[in-house]
Amino acid sequence: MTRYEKNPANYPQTRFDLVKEAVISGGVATLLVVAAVLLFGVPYVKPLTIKNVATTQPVLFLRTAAGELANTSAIAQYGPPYNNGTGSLQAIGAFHPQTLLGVTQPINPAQVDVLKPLSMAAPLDPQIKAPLAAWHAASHAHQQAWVRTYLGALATASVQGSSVVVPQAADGPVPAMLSTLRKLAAGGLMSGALDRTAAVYRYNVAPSLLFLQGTALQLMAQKYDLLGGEWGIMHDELSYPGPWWLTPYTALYQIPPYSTSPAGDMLAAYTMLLFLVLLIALPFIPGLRDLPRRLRLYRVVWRDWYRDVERGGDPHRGKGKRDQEAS
Amino acid sequence: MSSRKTAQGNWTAALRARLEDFTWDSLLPTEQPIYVRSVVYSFGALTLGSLVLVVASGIVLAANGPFWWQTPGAGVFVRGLHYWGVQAFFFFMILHLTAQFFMGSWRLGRAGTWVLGVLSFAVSVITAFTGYLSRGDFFSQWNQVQSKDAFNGAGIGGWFNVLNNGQIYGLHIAVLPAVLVVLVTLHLLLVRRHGVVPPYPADHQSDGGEGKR
Repeated sequence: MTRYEKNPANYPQTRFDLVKEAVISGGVATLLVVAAVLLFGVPYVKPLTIKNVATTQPVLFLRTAAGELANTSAIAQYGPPYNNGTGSLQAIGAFHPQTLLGVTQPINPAQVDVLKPLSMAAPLDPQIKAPLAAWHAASHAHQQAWVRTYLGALATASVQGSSVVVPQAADGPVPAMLSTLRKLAAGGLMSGALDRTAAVYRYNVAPSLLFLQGTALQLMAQKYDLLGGEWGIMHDELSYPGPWWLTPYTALYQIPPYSTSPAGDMLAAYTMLLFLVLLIALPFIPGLRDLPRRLRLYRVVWRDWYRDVERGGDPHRGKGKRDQEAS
Repeated sequence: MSSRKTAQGNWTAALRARLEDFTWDSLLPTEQPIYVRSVVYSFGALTLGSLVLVVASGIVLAANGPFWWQTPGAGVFVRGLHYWGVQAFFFFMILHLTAQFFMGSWRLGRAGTWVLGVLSFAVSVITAFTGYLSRGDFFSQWNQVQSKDAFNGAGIGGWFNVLNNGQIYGLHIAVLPAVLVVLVTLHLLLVRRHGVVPPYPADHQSDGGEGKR
């Protein structure tokens, strides 16, 4: 029986040029990538803007803004990190890590999405001051009733040119407020008003993206087959590969309980974390670490070596240079 | 007296002793074991070559800024290099990881090399994802609003705000690449220190069980 040698230096050696291999590998990778750019180009789809929604889908804009004004939108009810709601709070029993860091990015949609932009627009359009004052003077119940009535009327609204004709209803100052808001958005000023913070350098686009995140972005995503049930974010971008390395993660969303549980995101995240821990710890897990030996696919990689060894020759004749020098 | 003998309690000596494990033969070898004869051994080098291209194109993109890479011309071309470089990087890295799994490359004292490799893969996924969020087109917007629920649900959204372009871009171009480069460097050093893992024992070879782990 031939002995097994564990030290690579004690195996027969062949010539090798590490630097040449590194340079050639870098060159091959670069050539492949340059060829891909020249042949296929690169994906890009113009971003969706609030201005675009206000001008091309005005009824959708008004419905979204009304939902934010009444604080009945998904974000208004979301939960941490935006507020203390429970609408999107993911939990399994008492386990809800979403609440761990608390409300770190507070957002009041009525204030941020409608009332603040309108108060900023007031110097340009003084007529908005009276509807705003009426809104602030009304009780919460009255405000909610106005928005409900407005949304009912909006269902039968018609678009005539660049105007939206909403039937008369007992909806108080809401039509005037949202009409002015739409003008502000159609002029391209709304996202700037939404993302305005105390800091002058602004990087956080949460308010404007959260305004778009409901129906407007969903409709556009649907156009590109990007919804969660269609493999969501790892889906190809146009005809380009998307983040396909997220396949195991996105695959979870296609099967229960991930696809059906309200805590599906949380379950998927922790399942992937478990997979990662298993992959990291693979060398230490009996059974799993023995899989490659049992599968014997390594014999394909080292087929020449096993052919030589199993022919019966001594595989260790002609020791490595280092050993020869030492002896 | 060698630094190994004086290492006890002396951190500098301990570090020197560690570094002395490396020789020119291990760091920049001019020969390799005869069993290293397969195309799978090029996957790691091709992964590294792709990473160098991704980092280089990323530096050019960062130097010129978001408007440049979204404006047709040289900016879009370099963004193309970055994008396809990432595709190549993951393609070769997953081939490398899969091949190393089937070769049981953690055997004979190489578990640390495997752990660093898997950690590099995990950090690469997060780095690439923050890149998708930083591109500035509709796909970025969609991935931002979609992924926020995942990070919020997992409990880190309160800190890792995918809607904050400043935080995500900073993580993408500085923090995560720095972590990745450190991990990959340590991975490579361990590969060179231990040498290429020998094949599993042939059916008629005795190894006392050690070659299997």
